[in-house]
Amino acid sequence: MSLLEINDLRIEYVSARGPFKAVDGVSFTIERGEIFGLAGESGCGKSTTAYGIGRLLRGPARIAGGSIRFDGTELTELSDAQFDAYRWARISIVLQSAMNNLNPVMKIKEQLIDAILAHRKATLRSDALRQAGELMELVDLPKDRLERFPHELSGGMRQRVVIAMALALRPELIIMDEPTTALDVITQKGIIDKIIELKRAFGFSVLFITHDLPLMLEICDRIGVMYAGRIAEIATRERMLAGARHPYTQGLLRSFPSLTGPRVRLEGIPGSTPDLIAPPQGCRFRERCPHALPQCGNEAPFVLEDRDGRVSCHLYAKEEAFDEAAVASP
Amino acid sequence: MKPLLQVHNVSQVYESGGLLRKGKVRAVRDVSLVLGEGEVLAVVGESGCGKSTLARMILGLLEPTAGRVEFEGRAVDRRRRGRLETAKRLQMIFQDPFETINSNQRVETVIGRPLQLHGAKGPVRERVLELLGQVGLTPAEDYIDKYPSQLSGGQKQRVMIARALGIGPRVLIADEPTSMLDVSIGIGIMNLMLDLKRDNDLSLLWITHNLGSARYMSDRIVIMFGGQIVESGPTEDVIASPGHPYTRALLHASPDPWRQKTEGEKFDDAEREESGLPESGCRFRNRCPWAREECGQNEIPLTSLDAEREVRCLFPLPSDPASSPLPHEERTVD
Repeated sequence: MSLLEINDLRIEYVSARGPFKAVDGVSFTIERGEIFGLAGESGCGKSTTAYGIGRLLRGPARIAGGSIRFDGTELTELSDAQFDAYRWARISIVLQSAMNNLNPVMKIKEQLIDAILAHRKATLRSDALRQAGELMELVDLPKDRLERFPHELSGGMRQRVVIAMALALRPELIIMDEPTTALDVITQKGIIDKIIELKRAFGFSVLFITHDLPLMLEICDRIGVMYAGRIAEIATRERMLAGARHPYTQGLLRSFPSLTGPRVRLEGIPGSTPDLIAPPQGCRFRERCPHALPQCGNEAPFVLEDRDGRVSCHLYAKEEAFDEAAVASP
Repeated sequence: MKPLLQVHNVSQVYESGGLLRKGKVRAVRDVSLVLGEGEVLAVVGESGCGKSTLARMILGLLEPTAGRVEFEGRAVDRRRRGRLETAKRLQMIFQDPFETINSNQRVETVIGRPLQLHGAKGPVRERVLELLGQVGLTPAEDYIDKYPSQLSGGQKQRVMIARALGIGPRVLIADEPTSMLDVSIGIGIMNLMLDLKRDNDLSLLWITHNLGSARYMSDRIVIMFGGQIVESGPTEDVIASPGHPYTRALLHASPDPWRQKTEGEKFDDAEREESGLPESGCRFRNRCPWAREECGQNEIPLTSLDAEREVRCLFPLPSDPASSPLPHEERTVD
């Protein structure tokens, strides 16, 4: 059984013009010990999906349907009080801006102890302090930083504190939404390496969200690429490095200038995303797709599933009609 | 290549602190660079390296504390009467089109007003339509009467480029103009700027934290760290074999899953990151695995690696990276 099974998840934002379908039928699984990435550009629904899983949605957003099963339990059926047993203890969350959301007037020590005591009420304060020290070591922060206030630490160190907090109760799933986007690349590299190392040591799973597909390809085992509220493609890291299959993923990969190989002109993806209040029939990417077929306009995309992943695209409806070379990837 | 823009030893010192603790921040330290006609020069560095302060000084928006900027052989001086003339020739594209565009003006005014300020007589609508066409907002009639709120981020940035272009600049200075945009849109903006450069005989100063975009855009590259230039040279050469340890760190930290990975690339840890930059000697030495005692003793000058490359390092990396594995055991500076 997978640790997390998302099935046909739908999340809407209420708007004056009608429901805005930010997440519209998303399905994926995360295995134990796996780093699963959700990639996509702004507005594709990747963060909304994560917020839905972590129960961070606030009105006007609401889960309109679908299932979120965590270790066999249907999370959407739990009351808020019941979900509290999962929050931090089994599912924790690191947000992009989290490093700026530490309490500015509390020492790091107090904030870590708070996080521990809030969920393990029977813990002795002295034990919590010892645990806080251990957490600091895990993320390579010297213990004396426990006595500091957040403003005395650099952005990268504060983000390490936030990761330490997320680890405090040894959760099975950590959701990370753009955890390094606000940091410089060298700092980012240190934190990414740390996350991989900790994952190996503790075996937790990660739902890693970023718009930075090359970064995702460095860290994730499998990647789901979202477009306009739906998953266009799920692929293993190896599959995607060898060549993505969905035309959107291919376009996305061709939008990142590389540091190696010949310098070639990249074309990006002309056009803009569709209106998610009245989304178009058929494939949502077809207006921007260089390979669009007549049936893309009215039929839901063909879904091909194999051991490399899943791709939703009519190009794969007939294997023999598909010329892989014509849709080559970088 | 004929030099168009010359920056001579500029520095910028900011006063910092309040009543209790006064200090000086030397944001830019003795920076010199040349932008040739028709050239794209990338200035690359992380936040706080001084690259945006440098841009402001080049534009004449900020008076250098020391040094001077020359454009077409004449000093750029914000007090001169000729400032409007300079503004005509040097135009800036800012990072955030959402912030820099006036949301109360229609596209026609956003692009047309500077034309009038710079001497266009009578209606400018025809010229605005033409500019919209040049930046790929076609059919231009569909865009000219819109308000910014009706445009996407990428379209807004194109409007801002058209606005800068209308005045007839020789140099466009772009400070991270794609970082607020989705990548698939950002690459379109980069292509547009390269096309405009080619078709209008422009030069481009491309300021970024992203080595990938610097490689995509530029002929030559300048790497900044701690307010100083630490390395400069032809873009391909610098990226293929960085001479400065900082450039190498930046390169290895930039995500590029297709690159061959070498072992022992770890350059940074939490401790080093926090330990401020030294005021004298090599500013990178606390984070540099190759640092030796000499690195802290004197100011490190920029020295030539070859005819086109300069590096500010006493022990520049050899061009064959395999011969310089990270000497973790030999660390002398902590």
